[in-house]
Amino acid sequence: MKLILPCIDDIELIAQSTLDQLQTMVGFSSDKLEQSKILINEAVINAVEHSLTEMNQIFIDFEVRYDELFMTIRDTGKGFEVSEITVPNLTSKIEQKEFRGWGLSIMKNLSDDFSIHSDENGTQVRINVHLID
Amino acid sequence: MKSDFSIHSKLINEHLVIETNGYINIHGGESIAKVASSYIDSGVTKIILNLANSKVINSIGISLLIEVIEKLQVVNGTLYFTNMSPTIEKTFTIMGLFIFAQKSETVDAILQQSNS
Repeated sequence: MKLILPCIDDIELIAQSTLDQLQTMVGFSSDKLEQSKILINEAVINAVEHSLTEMNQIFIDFEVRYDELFMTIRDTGKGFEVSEITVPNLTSKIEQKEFRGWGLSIMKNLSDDFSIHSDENGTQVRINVHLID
Repeated sequence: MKSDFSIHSKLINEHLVIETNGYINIHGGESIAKVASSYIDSGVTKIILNLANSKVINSIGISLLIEVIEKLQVVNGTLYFTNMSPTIEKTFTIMGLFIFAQKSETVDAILQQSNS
């Protein structure tokens, strides 16, 4: 399944709805659906907020292969230096009253596999969820 | 496109119990923070967030819950999460929320604990 979405607020709801359809067709558990939705939320929100793309579009591929869901989220923004992103720390964030900046950490730790590539041509995130524990 | 979200709050034995329904994004998070702030300003220090009917959340919504935690810290208060789905509990754990907030299976368990 492929989606091309505009970079607008709340557009992750379309991706969530696509996951609902996939669950109906493939038949994975509600827990896996909720996990997948939280992951796709973060990828889409990051793309909308940070891609700064003139094309103003996000490209999403959903692929179910055997018992695994692969979600690839790509934008054509100016990219960023992945190695410069630090692991967020809640204590520091509360002290600094800066509560945002959790997206990559959530994707990395909540997924079963996660990769990111970013350069001046855009950013691509690949998320893997095992549909059967 | 807007998500469906609603909130219901009530005061039980000096605890503000907030029940959410639907996706907690920026709009949902703002609704929770607004209700919580008004009660904290009026002296409530214990807030229970019942997430039984919210299975999906995003980091912007959670950042607004962290704001509530921060505001409660100032008054030596506590935020309790109940009825979390496994994925939401894991997400909060990844972020370290349970260093500053409490969790429980049900609202009643927290209320009984406070009474004992």
